[in-house]
Formats: sequence, structure tokens, C-alpha cells
Amino acid sequence: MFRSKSWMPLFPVILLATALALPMPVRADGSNVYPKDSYVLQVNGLACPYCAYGLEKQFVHQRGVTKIDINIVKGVAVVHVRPGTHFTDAQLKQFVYDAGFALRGVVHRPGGGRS
Amino acid sequence: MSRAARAGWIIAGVLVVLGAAIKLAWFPAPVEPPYRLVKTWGGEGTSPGRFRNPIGIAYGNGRVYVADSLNHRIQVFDPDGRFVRAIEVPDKGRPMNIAVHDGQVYAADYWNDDVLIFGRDGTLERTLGTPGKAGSAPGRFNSPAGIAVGPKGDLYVADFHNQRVQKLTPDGRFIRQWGHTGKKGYVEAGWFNYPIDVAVAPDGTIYVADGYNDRIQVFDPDGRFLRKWGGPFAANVRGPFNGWFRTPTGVAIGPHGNVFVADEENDRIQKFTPQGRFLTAFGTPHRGPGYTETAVTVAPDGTVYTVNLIEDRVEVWRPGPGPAR
Repeated sequence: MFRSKSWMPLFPVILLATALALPMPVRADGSNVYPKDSYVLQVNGLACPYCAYGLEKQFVHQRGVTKIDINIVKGVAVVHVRPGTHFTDAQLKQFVYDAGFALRGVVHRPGGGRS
Repeated sequence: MSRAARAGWIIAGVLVVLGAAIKLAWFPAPVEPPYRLVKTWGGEGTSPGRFRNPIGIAYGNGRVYVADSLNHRIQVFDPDGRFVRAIEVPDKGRPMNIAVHDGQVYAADYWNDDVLIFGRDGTLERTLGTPGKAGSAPGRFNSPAGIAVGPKGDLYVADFHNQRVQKLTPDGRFIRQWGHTGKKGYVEAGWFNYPIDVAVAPDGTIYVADGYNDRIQVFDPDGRFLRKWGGPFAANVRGPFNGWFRTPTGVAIGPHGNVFVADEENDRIQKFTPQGRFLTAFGTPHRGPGYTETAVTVAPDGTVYTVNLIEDRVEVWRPGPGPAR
């Protein structure tokens, strides 16, 4: 079928379908694509590297946390966790508070859902 | 003139005087031209001369020292930006604000909760605090963010998460502290809300960048509070106006005793007299997400060196007219 060029109009559709089928990169930019095993937090007051490192330090010592990506500008922290790791809203709020900030909301949590 | 009309004129006069006083006090005009940007070096990367989150800077012994935080090292340059050597920070530490005194390099290692002291050749000579373990006891640290060395060699550490500034002997023994350990959110004089950096003038006066309170606090060598500035009443009112701050992350003393403050979220360095009178401001506006001017140091000839965080570079500024704001 590909000898003729009759398939050419389908090319954009094939390209789009392929792109949608590929796994999306991990992003900490507040968009709605998040890694499966992660908490995505919106944090008030994140502004400087001292803020970001403080939050990173706070989470990296929690059991089950594997990595944290922070976008200072968007005020978003993506906390990557091992499968099965669970934090309550109260815990997340406390972690963020202990780092010096206020938790505005949980945009995403492992398995989906927000608060 | 009727009584009502007279009262009206009096009220109008009071308002005019009040407005003028507020403008003079809280919206000062610059009295010096801005500095001009004369040179930059760096860029993102891991090779010598490149940076990943440069956060602190200090001038000493004719060298410029840059805390290259995410590369876990302090890089040393000559004043023209030629790479001299790198000092590795152990245990993947993240050096923040740094100081140089008598050839030694002092680094606040935020990540490992300790203070590192390197010798002239870059070897680690001493570690203060307990590496890898935050603590709030005297002489321990919880995310130290800045350090300064006094005229007699005493150390002053901005102990970020402990909400205090500690004064230590040259060998690390606790002398005293400012602020109330672990108490945050207070704006009263002498209290801190995440102190980030500290500088000591030749006469022993101590200047603290009280980060999340958006102000500078000043203490005499005996620890007494002297003054504070930054927005109305220096009471955690942040803003973009002259003399106001949005997260001061670095403070340095110039050769004539003037105070230079890295006003990070305003992308600028502000220059003040020792009494806190605004003189001028300059900096590189951010071109994308993030902020620029994060730390500052001043060479004996008045040249100002800053780190531009988002562009991973060092900037060199000199007094005079030019495009800087």
C-alpha cells in the first residue's frame, strides 16, 4: 500500500497516534501529565533555591520517596515514590510546613485523585 | 474663611505632608547611577568554569570563589574569570553562601547541615556541626545558608531552618545566637524568618539578610539590635520599590562600608549606606522563568561580583552609567 502516495493524508493522524501512545516525560511544570507513582503538590511561597532545597531535603528523608522535582516558578513539587507508598494529606501538609511553606493543594497522587 | 473650609485646608495640608514623608521614607529615589555590567562568565554545565545553580560568591586574596551548588564544589577564578581550581565539597554537599578569610574558605553546606573550612590549598581542614544530621543545640545546624568571618576570626552562621544566627569561635565553639531557635513567622526586631546570609563590617557590625521577612537586620558587635530596613517598618512587606525586598538572599559589605544586598526575586542588587539609606540598584532582569541576582561580593577596588542563578553565570559590575537598571 505504501508504494503509492495515497497514504500520505493519513500521515499526520499516524504521527499523532504514535505521539499519544508514547510515554510522556516527567514534568514538574504544573501541567496535567504526571508520573504514575508520584504526588504532585502545589506549594505557596516557593521562590528561591533555599526554598527548593529545603523542600527537597524534607521529602528525601521520608520512607518511600525516591526523587523530587521542583519547579520554583510554578510552585509545583513532584514527589516520586515507590509503588505502595502512601502519605495522608495531613502528612504532606506537615512536610511542606516543616520546610517553611504552605501546601495549597495536591494535584495528583499515586493512582490518581486530587484534593 | 469658614471653619469648615479652614478644616479642609488643614486636612489637605496634613495629607500632602504625610504623602511627601511616606514617599521620602518608603519610596526613595536613587542618589547614585546604577552599576554597569562589564563582564560575565560561566553557563550551565559540569566542566571547569561552568555551573549548576551557583548560589554563593566571595572575593578574597585576589580570587573570586563561587559556590557551584549542584556540582558540589567551589570554583576559584582570577578576577577576569579565568578558572584557577575547584574545591570539592564532600558527601555531595551543596555549598550556599560562602566566605573567604585569611586564605581560608568557609562554606555553609545546606544539604549536610555543617560548615566546611578549607585551607589555602583547598583541602578540607575542619567540619563544624554534625555532617548529615540536622540539630538545634548550640553549635549544631539545620540547613546553614550563609557564613561570615568577623575581624577577630569569629564565625557567624545563618542557620536557616533553626531561624537563628549563631556566633562561634574560630574553632567552632558556640558563643551566642540571635533569633529564637525554631520559631518562625515573627517580624519583631531580633527575630528571624529564615535567615539566609550574614556579613560583618570591619568594625564588627553584623548585617543579616532576613530572607522571608524581606529585610536586613543590623546588630552591634555585642549583639544588640541596631536597626532594620526593607519596606514599610521592615515588617515583612515585600515589593519591587527602591529599598524594598523580595527575598534577600545575600549581603556583602563594600570597601567604604556600604551594604550590598542580593534581592533575588527582584532580580537586582541594592546598595545602601550602613544606616540603610538606599543608594542605587542594578541587575539583570530574568528573560524566562526564574530569578537572577542571588548572591553578591565586592572586591577592594569596588568591583561587584554577583551570581546569576537562572543563567548559571558570574556577572561583574562597575560603578558608572550604562544599561543596568
